[in-house]
Amino acid sequence: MCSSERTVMPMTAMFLVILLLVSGTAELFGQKFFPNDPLVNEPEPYRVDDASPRPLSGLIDYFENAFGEQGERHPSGGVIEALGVNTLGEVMEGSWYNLRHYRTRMSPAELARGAGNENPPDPNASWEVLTVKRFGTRTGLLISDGSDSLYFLRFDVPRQPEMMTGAQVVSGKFFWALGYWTTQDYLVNFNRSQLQASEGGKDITSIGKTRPLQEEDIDALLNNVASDGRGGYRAVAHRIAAEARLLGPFQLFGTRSDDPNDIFPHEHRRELRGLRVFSAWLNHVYMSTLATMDGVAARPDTTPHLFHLLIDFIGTLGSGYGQIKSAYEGYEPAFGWMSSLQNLAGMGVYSKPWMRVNYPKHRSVGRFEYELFDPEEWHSVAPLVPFDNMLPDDAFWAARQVMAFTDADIRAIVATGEYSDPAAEEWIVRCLSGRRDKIGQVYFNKVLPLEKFRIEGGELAFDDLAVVHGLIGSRTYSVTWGALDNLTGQIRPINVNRVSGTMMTVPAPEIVAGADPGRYLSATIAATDSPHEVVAYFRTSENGLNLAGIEHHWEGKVVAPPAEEETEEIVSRYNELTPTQRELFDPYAVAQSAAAGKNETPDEYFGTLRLSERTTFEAVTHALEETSLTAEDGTSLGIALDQVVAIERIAGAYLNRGGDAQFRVYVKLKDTAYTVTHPSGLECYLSDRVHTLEKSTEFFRDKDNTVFHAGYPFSYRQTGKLPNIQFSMSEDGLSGDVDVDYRSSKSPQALWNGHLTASNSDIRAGKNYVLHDLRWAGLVDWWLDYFGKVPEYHVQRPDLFVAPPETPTPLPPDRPYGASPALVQDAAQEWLTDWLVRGNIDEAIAFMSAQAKSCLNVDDRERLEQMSLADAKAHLQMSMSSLVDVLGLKANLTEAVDAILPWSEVVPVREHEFDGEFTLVEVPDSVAAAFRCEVRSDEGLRDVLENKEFQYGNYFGTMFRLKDDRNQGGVLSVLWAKEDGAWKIVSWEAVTD
Amino acid sequence: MIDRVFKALRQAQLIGAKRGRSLLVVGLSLLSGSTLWAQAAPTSRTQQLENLRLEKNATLWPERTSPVVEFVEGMVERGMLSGRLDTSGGSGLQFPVFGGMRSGNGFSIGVGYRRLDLWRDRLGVRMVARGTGAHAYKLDAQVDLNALRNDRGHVDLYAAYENSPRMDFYGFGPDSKKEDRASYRLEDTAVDLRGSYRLAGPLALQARVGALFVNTGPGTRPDVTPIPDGPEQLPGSGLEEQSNFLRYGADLRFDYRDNPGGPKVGGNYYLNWTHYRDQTTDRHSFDQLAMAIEQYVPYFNKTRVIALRAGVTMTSASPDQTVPFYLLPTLGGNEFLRGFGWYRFSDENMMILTAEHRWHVFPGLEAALFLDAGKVAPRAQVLNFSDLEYTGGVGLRFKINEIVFMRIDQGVSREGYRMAWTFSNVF
Repeated sequence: MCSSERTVMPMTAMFLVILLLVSGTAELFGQKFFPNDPLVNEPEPYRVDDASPRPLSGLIDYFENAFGEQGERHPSGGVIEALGVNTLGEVMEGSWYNLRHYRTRMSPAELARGAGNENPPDPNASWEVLTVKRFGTRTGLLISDGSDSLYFLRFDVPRQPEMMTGAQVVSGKFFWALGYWTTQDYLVNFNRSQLQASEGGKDITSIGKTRPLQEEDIDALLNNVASDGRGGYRAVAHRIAAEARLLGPFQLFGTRSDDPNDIFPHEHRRELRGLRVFSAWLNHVYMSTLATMDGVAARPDTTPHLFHLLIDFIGTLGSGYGQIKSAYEGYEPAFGWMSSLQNLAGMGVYSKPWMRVNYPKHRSVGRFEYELFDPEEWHSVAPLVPFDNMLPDDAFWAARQVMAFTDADIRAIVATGEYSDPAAEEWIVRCLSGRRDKIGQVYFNKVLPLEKFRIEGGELAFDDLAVVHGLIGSRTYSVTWGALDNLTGQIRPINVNRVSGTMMTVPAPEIVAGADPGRYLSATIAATDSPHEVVAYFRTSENGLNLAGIEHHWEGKVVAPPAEEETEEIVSRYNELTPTQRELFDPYAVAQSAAAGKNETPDEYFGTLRLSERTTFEAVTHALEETSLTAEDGTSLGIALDQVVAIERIAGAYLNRGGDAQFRVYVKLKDTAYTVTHPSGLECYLSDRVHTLEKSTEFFRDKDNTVFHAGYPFSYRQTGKLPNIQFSMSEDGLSGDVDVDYRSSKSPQALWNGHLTASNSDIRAGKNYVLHDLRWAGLVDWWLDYFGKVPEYHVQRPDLFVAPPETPTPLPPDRPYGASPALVQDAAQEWLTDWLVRGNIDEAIAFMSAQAKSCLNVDDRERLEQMSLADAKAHLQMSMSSLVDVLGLKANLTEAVDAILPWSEVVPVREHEFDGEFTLVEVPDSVAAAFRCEVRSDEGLRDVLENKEFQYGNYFGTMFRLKDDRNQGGVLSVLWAKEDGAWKIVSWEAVTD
Repeated sequence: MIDRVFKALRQAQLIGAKRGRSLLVVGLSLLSGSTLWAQAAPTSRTQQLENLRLEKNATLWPERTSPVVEFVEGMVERGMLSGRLDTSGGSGLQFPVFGGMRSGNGFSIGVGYRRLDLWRDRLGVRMVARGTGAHAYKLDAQVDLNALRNDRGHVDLYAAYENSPRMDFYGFGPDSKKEDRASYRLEDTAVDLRGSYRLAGPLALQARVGALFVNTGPGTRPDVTPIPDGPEQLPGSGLEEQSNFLRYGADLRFDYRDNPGGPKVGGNYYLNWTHYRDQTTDRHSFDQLAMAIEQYVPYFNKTRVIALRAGVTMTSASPDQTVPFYLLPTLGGNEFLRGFGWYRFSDENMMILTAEHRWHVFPGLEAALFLDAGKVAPRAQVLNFSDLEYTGGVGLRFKINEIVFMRIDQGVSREGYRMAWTFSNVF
């Protein structure tokens, strides 16, 4: 572990100096202990905002484990000690683990409480079923009891009542007491009549899509689960807290690449290695990546960061998934070359002991026993690298916790399984007690099981857990004291005799008690009947000796030297920035760092930026730098980046913000007087750079921003094909935001192609990088590789974790094709419902006037389309259908659209019964005329608005925002007028940024 | 410890991994103030950990979702893995589909599409197209009228077209000779409406009515004589005319197997009667009666199963009618008397006795020792235990979720060794 142990290649003296500099950590300098060792808690976590949800496949994981090797294994020359632990060998407490029952004995009530028992679903409330999931790995019902929480109900199979639900609850409480983060699980008993299909609920079909939920979908699921035959059901309810954001499972090797706090490879984390012992105890044979979950704690009192849970214990104890455990489970892996060959060659004649176990017939238990159980021979179904990496001290760390559970403790937890058969409950208690004892017998023999070292009355005292738990009688120990050189890690024997004693105390020599403060002493303890040793390190202080560290050494232990590493180029993205980019970034970095009370260099500050901020800065400034500006006469006007004089803020991904507030760089602009006319009619002062853009052939003045880009009304967009740069500027022209649009803003595609979502400007999303490189070559996709991609931001959240639906506004029945409602709001409601809820595109198109065809623009060309009525209808049909394909049909209008308010008093709002869904405004004749697509222009609209006389009554407008599950959708303004006595859409506009 | 962390970070590609760069590069980058390496030595454990986090933070990557993971998870979450093999879940495209065609016409592969969610699960549709390298084809479709399904009853409509150019025929009776092997083409189209009703517990009654349109012709198996030119003239066998049949029948079944796709305990007893009415020539109308008992006896926690089967199939026709040769009960092939070739024995009656000892190898594989005995006979009265043909052998059964999806059996009989590779369970 020390640098002196490291084998290095021959190198010059200069490189040795360099190596010394490189070794920027304590242990490479040789320092063994720091003054604040042992560290109980992990340091305060870094803030994590933009970690992405990520599914993993249990099936692929299984095959990779069974037929390959994931993660890092112990090398042939030695072992890799556990990580994530303090110098006592304890797992540092934090987002992975909290020592609970072992550190402070939990009362029976606390053990039974587990992760929490304060928030069960209200048994007296009606439970709204939000989602029915009948297929896949975890089937069940997502319900709401009207509180802030959601609950996912999982059931037993008919042949084995209480087995799966009992296992989930019981094992969940054990794992909580053992220190892991788990979900709150509640056993609930209810009648079918308590469940009601939510009006906005969803049923997930066998084709993997969702459809509006009906009561029969609930029945279809309940028909295949255990019931009491009288409409009563028992389920386990996993609570899904409103404040948690779940990201999917964590891998059991490596680290999460988007989590700065995740620094220790999982296969070397002690709590995951030791999990093998706990899993053996509780027969958690299906422990795998799918039994885990990452989440972001988003409570106001904590810094948002990832925490890591164990979530699925259905398959523990004697329970399997949907059936009792197979006989092999726990005794052999699902596939092992040797075990399979043995079984095959046995020809069915040779049988292994596990095949012949006589299990008691408890339907609620399944196959669970303790007599044949051997913790060392126990197997999870799939080999797991942390389990394979478990060392004797990892196992000791876990085994002492298992042994801390008394029979009464076990009984208290098993009682929470609420087994109706007392004999079943008793059998589980007996099995767990028996398996616990075997764990102690096996693993307390793998190391010298000493702990709780202290100096008492001039004697070194400790607990021998093998003695404490009655596994052996008393034994004799010998201690060799030494002085530790904390900088080199070398121990120099103190000139005292080796001392010995019994009954877990050994006299300490005077020199130990009188050592100078600040020194480190070591006590190497051996026992006469054990080949193993323990070294306890003490730090001397004015208060005496304080325990600083513990090392367990077992027979044959050889710590693998750090693997030989060739020196490698370190990726430092700052170093990859161009001089121009750095020139822009450096003052910003220095200012930001100073504002935070730090003194970071730009390079260091760049390293502290979030991933999405770095990619955004690189992409935007790269595009600006690669964009030359040219006047119409061919004169060069420089490059676009020249026009930016300073950075105000780099905006990366911000959840729950609109796409117009993410993935952009807010900048200061060059200050040279220039005026333009604001939509309100005011003359505005703008900068020279605007003038430059105005003069350049590469940019054009786009529509003014009226909905998006708050504070930046003026828009200049790059000409040509996508992607393009958009400048959105303040009224004074001195600041703005700059982003790159990778998706078309032309209506109607903008409604469904992602333009109005964060994906539009995130270089990492979808094919944005490819598009970027096609237009501005040279950006390195360092965040991306061949195998992966960043998910689209408009991907829906997992159905299990959707927010409770709003109460939908009641709608009248479906009107027939071609119906002509008398009121314009009824026509608008019918049109929207036909389109977005019923999916009757033809009926929806019937509301479109032939005049509206001018609003179609099916490509990115500025010129509007000249197309026949039939072509227009076909294009419109395609666009409307595409939107439905993207968003999916909604259960009701409330789920589909949201009303937004107009910005001008010229179009007064009228109340109506659907005003939660869309806004109805009166539109003056002159404004309506100017709003027609064939003549519409910003200038024309401004001219009309300058008039003070308005004639109302002939036209109405509806405005609404299309709802997407995670993002703000597009805004549509629709103009209605009567044609032949029927309300028709005569013009419309998709309002984009 | 820290070296180990750096190594892991490098392995995880969080730190650049280009090898072969000279130390000088690193040294220069250090001297120029590279963030990663230029930190001061930590003075506390907390700072040491902070440094590691800082270094990680400087090289964050977005987590990626592999398209393969998305695809596999999509399949799993739709119940595809189980749905391919039973009747729940798994709507969507199914590829590849193995098996499902008549034996002896080559290795088949196909593509299917299944939707069980139509009309709010009231209608299920499955369509599969299969083919073999020997130019055998099969197109079939099934419509499940789930609206009529309840916990007791079920109705479905099944239609299939199958063209099998390499069917074998060795002549009639138990004394047919191996060297008389002839090849014929069997092309048929069938449409059947089936309804079942569970009378009590595992006892169910099924009725069906349908039509069968048959076309036969010379076979294409290389080195085997096509039937019209072969030694057998098959007078009255059905070869000389192409018949269309109306068929109907009933099936009484007592099925209490734990898992029909790979049973380990329970039994399956059935009595099946079918009447074929020749609508074209009125010369090949007949009745068929099939009975079987299948019993599964597990021991050693179901890691061993003794599977037993006894089955009889009988046909009868009035004196002026004959059973067409292509609808005769047969022995040989992958199901019955596995040491003999496909369709090795044909006659109006057949009996089969099978015993298997199956044992666990690993969850995805089961091995078996088996013994088949059987005979064909022109009259039901001579279906006895004399002059039985025997086959013994070993086999492997490949399983997913306890359901056998593929089987390899190696059988031996008086006519030699034969390997059967098929995509169905034997029983």
